[in-house]
Amino acid sequence: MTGMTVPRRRFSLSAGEKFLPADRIVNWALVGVLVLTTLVAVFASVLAPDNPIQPVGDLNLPPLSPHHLLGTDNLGRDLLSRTLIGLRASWFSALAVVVIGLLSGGLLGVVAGAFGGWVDGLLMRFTDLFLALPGALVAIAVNAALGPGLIHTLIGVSVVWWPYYARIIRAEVRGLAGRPHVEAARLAGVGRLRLIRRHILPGVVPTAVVTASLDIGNVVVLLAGLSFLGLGQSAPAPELGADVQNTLYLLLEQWWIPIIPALTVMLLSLIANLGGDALRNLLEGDR
Amino acid sequence: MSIIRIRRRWRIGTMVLAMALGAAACSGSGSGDAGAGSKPPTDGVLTMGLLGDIGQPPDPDIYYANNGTAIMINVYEGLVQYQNNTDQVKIAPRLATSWTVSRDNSVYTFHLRHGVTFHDGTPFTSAAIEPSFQRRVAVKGGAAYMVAGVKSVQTPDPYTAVITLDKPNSAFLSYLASPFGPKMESPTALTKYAGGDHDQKYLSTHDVGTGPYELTSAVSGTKYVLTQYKGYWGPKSPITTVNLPVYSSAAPLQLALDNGDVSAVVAALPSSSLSHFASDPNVRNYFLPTLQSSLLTLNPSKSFFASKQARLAFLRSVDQQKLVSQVLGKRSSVATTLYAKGMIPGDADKQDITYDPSVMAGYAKNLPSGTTMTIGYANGNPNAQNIAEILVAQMQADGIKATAQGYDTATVFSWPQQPTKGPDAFVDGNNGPDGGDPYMWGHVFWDASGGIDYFACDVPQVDAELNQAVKTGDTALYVKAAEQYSAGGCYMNLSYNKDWIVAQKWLTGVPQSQNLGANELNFSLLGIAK
Repeated sequence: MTGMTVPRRRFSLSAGEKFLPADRIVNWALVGVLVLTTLVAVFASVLAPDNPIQPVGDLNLPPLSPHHLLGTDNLGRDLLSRTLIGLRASWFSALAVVVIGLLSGGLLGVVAGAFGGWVDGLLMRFTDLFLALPGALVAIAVNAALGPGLIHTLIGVSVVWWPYYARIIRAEVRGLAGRPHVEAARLAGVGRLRLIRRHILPGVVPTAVVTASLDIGNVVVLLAGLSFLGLGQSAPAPELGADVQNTLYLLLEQWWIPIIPALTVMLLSLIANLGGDALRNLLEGDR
Repeated sequence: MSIIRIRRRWRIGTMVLAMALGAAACSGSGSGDAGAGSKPPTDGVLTMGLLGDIGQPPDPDIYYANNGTAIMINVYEGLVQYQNNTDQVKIAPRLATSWTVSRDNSVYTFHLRHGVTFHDGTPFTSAAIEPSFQRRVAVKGGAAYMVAGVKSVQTPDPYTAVITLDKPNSAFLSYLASPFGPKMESPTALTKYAGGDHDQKYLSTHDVGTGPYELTSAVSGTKYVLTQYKGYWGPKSPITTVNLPVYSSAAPLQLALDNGDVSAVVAALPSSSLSHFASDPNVRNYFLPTLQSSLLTLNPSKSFFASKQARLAFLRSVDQQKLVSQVLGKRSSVATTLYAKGMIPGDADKQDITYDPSVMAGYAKNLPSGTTMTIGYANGNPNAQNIAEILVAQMQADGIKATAQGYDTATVFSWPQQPTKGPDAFVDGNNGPDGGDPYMWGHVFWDASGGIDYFACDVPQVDAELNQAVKTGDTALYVKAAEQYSAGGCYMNLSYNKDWIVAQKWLTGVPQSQNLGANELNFSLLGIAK
């Protein structure tokens, strides 16, 4: 490649620059992958060719075997079916944690930012308390205390996930509160609740959506990590992290059995992050 | 720190974790081929890989776990041992060359081997027996019960010892032959290093035994080293040093064996590696008998298995043949007796559970919709987990909402006191008694006071029969007790497990150095092929 000059495509632009069509296409394509992943998760049961729990084929069939696209595991279960159902659990669990975090943290942030004063101080110190805790460890501790199970895992992660949203949205609200249109509304005698609903929230929503979309990948990996540690659903429910852990000892012989769920976690995280970036680019371009 | 920075840290951290998961999964993908093996050592150094640390100090009166037995049986010796290279439970001489037992099983007279010295040079005589027994009682280790019934040790001469028990016990010889049984310890050294803890600190890094090797280095979690004892009474082995490096997981241990860095691995590799080593021309596979089994225990304290009908229906739905062939492979065979293989002569303790899944399917039809049940297994035992998951899938096919759940060891051992806290059933992937006497099996697994009757499924009459049988050694009574316990439907012996030993091709004498009680090798009986 030495000596060649390859024109570089621009995937990010500084503020004020307009998007090139190619960039918009790439961004829309990435958002499309995000939507497609969600659709795959929604229709996972339909797409799964076999029952993910029952042995349906020979043991340890490699990928691309007849009737088993991703092969079978050491108990003869179809890996494609287990991966699809595991993907559904991971994806919707991540969405649930993000939505819970967004709603609870967002509410706190809006109240703190809009009311200011001692209310702001009190709520933010409370938020700081949670931010000071090591999030992953607290999630593991809560989950371990409650016992294994998907709902318990979601509770454990949600407990540590909202403070970020509270902080970000509070800052956004404080910024918007000083804007001329909000000042004008306030001077015109608009009530506090109406001010929040009509003049502040619309400005906060894009930031919240972008933050949340970028967050899904983080949650996917954290949930997979907890599942890897045995804190997810009970076996034999398909779960990506647990499936990696339970079959890790097969790595040297039937490598595909632990690798496929591990790669799925990686891909989900990648798709969520790239899709979130693309969404941000599109929203910034439209602003 | 700003929110943006915190958020970036999360994102970077999670992406790194995601990449690590993928990379970890990919890292071993190209290593499936067998390695080159190794050349026979010319320096007499043998390297035996340990999967995980031995877990407890290498003190013969404290140690009561698994792979550290390799140190115990090579550094220390008892009066007797189980006979090597046989699948029958037979007691063989060690420091005692012969013995007699009184008709009522309460007086054991041992004639001791001449010319034996402890590693500190002290001659081994009958005077060493009582201090060794007394220390065992004093430190209160898990196997202290083996000498708790010793009333007196008389020494009419330096090479004769008469041990009198406080009550008849036909299992006493099995206690002495057990790898966890009382070992002979130098009385001189015990006095010298007693300190305030009965030598426990000293024996965590040193030894006071008579075995063919001395413990010359003990670094917990890293490595143990045994060095040949020059004054050993037995035949001189070409193996002068034994390194016991600790591997944290099976994959690196397998790679080390592939590469020839490890000479042999005893009962530590997963069943999934069977095919890998079966086709490896550089190693030899040995499947040697043990007293270990895979067991299935049902919990009558939970509603699902409260009725005997449910328990027996479930046990009849267990396809032992499938579980053994699919999960355990060549390292196990289907169990057909209630005790361990070889404990009862002629396999008179037949396990009479006929496979018929339709019984459970019929029973399940009458259960309320959405009935749940959980099958437990010990964390870190993939064979047990796979068995549990197969049983769960079968139950789900019958319409029961079954799940499999892993439990840590501490939790498992809390169940006998609180059986309602346990799962509905438990798959024990590999367990066995301390020794080969049927009492040691029956008392441990079937008597609520024995320690591993997980769900306290107790039949008082069975306990009484076992307690009577141990006095007389009455085989028929042992069989009767087993059949009565089995009829309750709490228990199934799934498979006889073997010691799967993978050794470099140059290592000879493996079967001759193994016995079914020890689960480890006597390194002094191994050889090096030229």
